Amino acid sequence: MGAAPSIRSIIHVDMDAFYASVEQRDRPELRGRPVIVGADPRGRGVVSAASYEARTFGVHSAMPIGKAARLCPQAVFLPVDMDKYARVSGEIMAVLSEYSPLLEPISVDEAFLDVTGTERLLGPPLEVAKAIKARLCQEVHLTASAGVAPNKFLAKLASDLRKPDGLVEVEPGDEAAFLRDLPVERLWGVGRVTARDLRAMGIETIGQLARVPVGVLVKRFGKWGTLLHELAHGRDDRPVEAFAQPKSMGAEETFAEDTRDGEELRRTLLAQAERVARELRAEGYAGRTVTLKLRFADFHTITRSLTGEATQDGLEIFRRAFGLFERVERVQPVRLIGLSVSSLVRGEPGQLSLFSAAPARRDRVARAADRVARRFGDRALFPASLLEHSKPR
Amino acid sequence: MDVQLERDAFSKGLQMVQNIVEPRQTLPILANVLLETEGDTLRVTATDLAVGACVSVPAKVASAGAITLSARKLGEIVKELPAAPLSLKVQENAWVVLRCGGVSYKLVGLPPEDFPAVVPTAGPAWIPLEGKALKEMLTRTAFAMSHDESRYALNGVLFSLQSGRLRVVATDGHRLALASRPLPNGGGAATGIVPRKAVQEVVRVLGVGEDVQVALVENQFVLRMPNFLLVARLIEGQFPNYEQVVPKGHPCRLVVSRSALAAALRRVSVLSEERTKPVKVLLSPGSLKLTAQNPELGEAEESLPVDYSGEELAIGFNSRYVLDALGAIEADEVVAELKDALSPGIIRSLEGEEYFCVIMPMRI
Repeated sequence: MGAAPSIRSIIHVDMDAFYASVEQRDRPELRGRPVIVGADPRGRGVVSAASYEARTFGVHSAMPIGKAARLCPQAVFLPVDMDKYARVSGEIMAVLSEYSPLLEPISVDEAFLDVTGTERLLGPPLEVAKAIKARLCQEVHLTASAGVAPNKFLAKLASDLRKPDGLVEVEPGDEAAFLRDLPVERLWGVGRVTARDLRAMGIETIGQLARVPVGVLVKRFGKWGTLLHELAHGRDDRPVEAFAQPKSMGAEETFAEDTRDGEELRRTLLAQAERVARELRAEGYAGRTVTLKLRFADFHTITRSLTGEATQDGLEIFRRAFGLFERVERVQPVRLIGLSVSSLVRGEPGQLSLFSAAPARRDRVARAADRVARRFGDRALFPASLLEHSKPR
Repeated sequence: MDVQLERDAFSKGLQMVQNIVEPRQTLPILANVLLETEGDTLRVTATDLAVGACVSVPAKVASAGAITLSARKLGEIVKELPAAPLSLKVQENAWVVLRCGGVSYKLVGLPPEDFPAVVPTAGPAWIPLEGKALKEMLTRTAFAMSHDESRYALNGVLFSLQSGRLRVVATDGHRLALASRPLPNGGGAATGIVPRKAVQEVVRVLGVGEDVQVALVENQFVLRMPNFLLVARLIEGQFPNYEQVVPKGHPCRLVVSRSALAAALRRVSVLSEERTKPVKVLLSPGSLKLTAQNPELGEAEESLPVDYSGEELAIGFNSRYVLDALGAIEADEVVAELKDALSPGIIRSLEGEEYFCVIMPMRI
């Protein structure tokens, strides 16, 4: 293998207000109006996406939906139609994949592309980004913002800078100038806490941070200090990984009202286990660790986990999660319950089992159910014990 | 309390129980061992609430009493002491003075009253056994215990007493090892799952010479020897119906040299994937071929002669499981019985039904 070129060309493509834009695209009467996609506005979930019209009222994603409803009562509130967004996402990724095999989707609506060395074939990276934006506009009828830079960190920052419909390039050598006046919160991984700590050191901008000797940062932040230093100088070696292996798969739900109802909690957990198991099978993974998450009325949140044999069986995942659940002392009502499966391994377990009487048969049933779900939707076939839960909304 | 002890005897006694003390405890006193006088002995007790053990060490008791001391520190101290008479004297406020030869320690103790008692719940029906035999039964099965914390019932060894036989069974859901032996005076039926830690401790303390007595009472496993007692809380839960999965009358029966098969498995599995170590077995009249492949490393193949005259059969196994089973058998020749690529196989020595291992194949 030859040496990798020292300067890479990475494009980060991020769809603008994705869920809300898809709804506005499909329903012309919503265009120009504030649209908020997320939980029931009378309930207690959060905003998943807000159109730019809604954002002028101060609404943003991850905000409690009730607050959004107060800020922007005239908005059109829509539920999350994940099936539709996933479909549109597929169309978007198909367009992107024509420009580079090194495509790393990081969610339904954003992806990194490594176009290093494709200049003679496709033109300069900035032109590639323009072409991608134009094609998404023509073919998917949605606008995207793009960032072009020598690494992932800068490309993502750049795409975020002139949203919506933005295009920003950071050329090699311009990293310092680009970062200099940006607030430290823009750095990957810097949240409120680190920002506060930095501010206490008199550091507000990335330029100021870049001038702090790395030793000082390491002393204050440990290993993370080295990374901060690298990022402040615009350095990031992470490759674009076309087949990035997921770390975990999970599901969680916030209840409309805090609950002490053990039966409701149990059923929710079972539904989540079935959903996660289906996702695992669809992606060809099995997981060894099951983690239960509970958030109580006072927002106190706990997680408990258990590691065993790799599984992609919904009932087994449920059995482990419920075992953990039963051992948690629940003094308060529960606000949120969720589970996730991690320590993922590829493929079905090859080792056969002595005791589960018909593991192969259970597996075949699960796969048949998966096929039914693919054709007729998730609500077509599910464990009978969830019947009561499945009343049409 | 004021006692005199032989350093060697005390050290040996401590070693018999101190492994039970967990490195991290829920109660501070569980980091300690209880020392109490009893007649002309000093009794040393350790417990983690699930497993507890006591050992009696000969002592000259000048004044009776009891105290608890850090198990780890006491162990470290006694290990380094010269071979000389050793004295332990409890003073006010749970201070303990330990003297041996020219060295003396003043140690912080904790009062004995808070130390959880280690006693069998009821007058048990004792089963007498040779220590050597019990140790062998346990080492030949314990490797098959599960490490999967989500399957508590498999994190131990099943003791089953039935129709005059003692059976010891362990399984992790992939393979199962069973050792059995007749009991001299038959009698009684009892069963219980003894937790991993107790199994390990029993194997560790059992020597070759002594006779032991074991009992399963209520929710406890109890083992006693002269001067030693171990009490373990049985694992609650249902041990799987193991008898149902033991193959009977499999058509493909082969006889092979134990050491030759083990050596070939070790050689071939070098190239197997590391986690499950799969090896493919191809059986044909007179020959057994082992193959392993790894997309990144290559392939390995070895054939060895076997006494087999049945039909051809291809089956995959986790080679570690087969090696564990072979390691637990002493005979030179082993018998394996197989049916097809999806049914469990069984391995035992050519003579005797007292030990066997059932292994579920892998899909390869």
